[in-house]
Amino acid sequence: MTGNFTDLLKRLVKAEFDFVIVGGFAGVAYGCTYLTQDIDICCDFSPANLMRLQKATAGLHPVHRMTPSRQKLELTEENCSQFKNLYLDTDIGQLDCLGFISGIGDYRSAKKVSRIIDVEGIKLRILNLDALIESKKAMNRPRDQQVISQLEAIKKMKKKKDCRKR
Amino acid sequence: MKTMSGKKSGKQSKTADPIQAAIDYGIDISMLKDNVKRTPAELIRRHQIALETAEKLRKAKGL
Repeated sequence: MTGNFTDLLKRLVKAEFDFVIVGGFAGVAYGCTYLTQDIDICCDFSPANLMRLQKATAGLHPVHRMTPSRQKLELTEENCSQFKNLYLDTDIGQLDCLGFISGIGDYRSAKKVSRIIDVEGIKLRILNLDALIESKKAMNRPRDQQVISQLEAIKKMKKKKDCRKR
Repeated sequence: MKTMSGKKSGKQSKTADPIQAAIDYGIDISMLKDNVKRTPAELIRRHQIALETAEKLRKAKGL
């Protein structure tokens, strides 16, 4: 199943769910050349916000994809506090909701080092390029080495491009 | 994640220049240069197309 990430993100924005795009998909938005099959977001894990997530994904059959039985997403004001991360699969794509980003911190910290991008008329909050590089370095996973290399090259290219504009 | 560069990668570069370091790593810099000129919306749209194409190929091959 191929995700339709733009539709998924539109739903989140429409439901006024507070999140910042992080991880591989953020790299794609900056110009990295790999394919990613999920969207990683850092979000506010308050019950009110998680209920908005549930509203946004209603009808998409969201399930906890890391659980053996792929349990349905059934959030209540009471059970919200038990989650630190949510790894979801929906009819239109995988969505990883993270409460904490290595090298950055929680949602509030991620929001401080984010910027807004416009995608098909919707405003999306995404980690800025420096913060994205920082988070990838902090994770220190072998598979992130190529991503870091691409992001650092993109950063240099953007800098050159900006200098030429001036 | 799957790399689209199609090149072997993994060598650590000793250069301080990130672009040269990416070349040394085996990354297709021409693709990055093109992408830097594109808007995030365009990049996301192109990623979606590539993802759908990869999925079609996977299905066609019965993988």
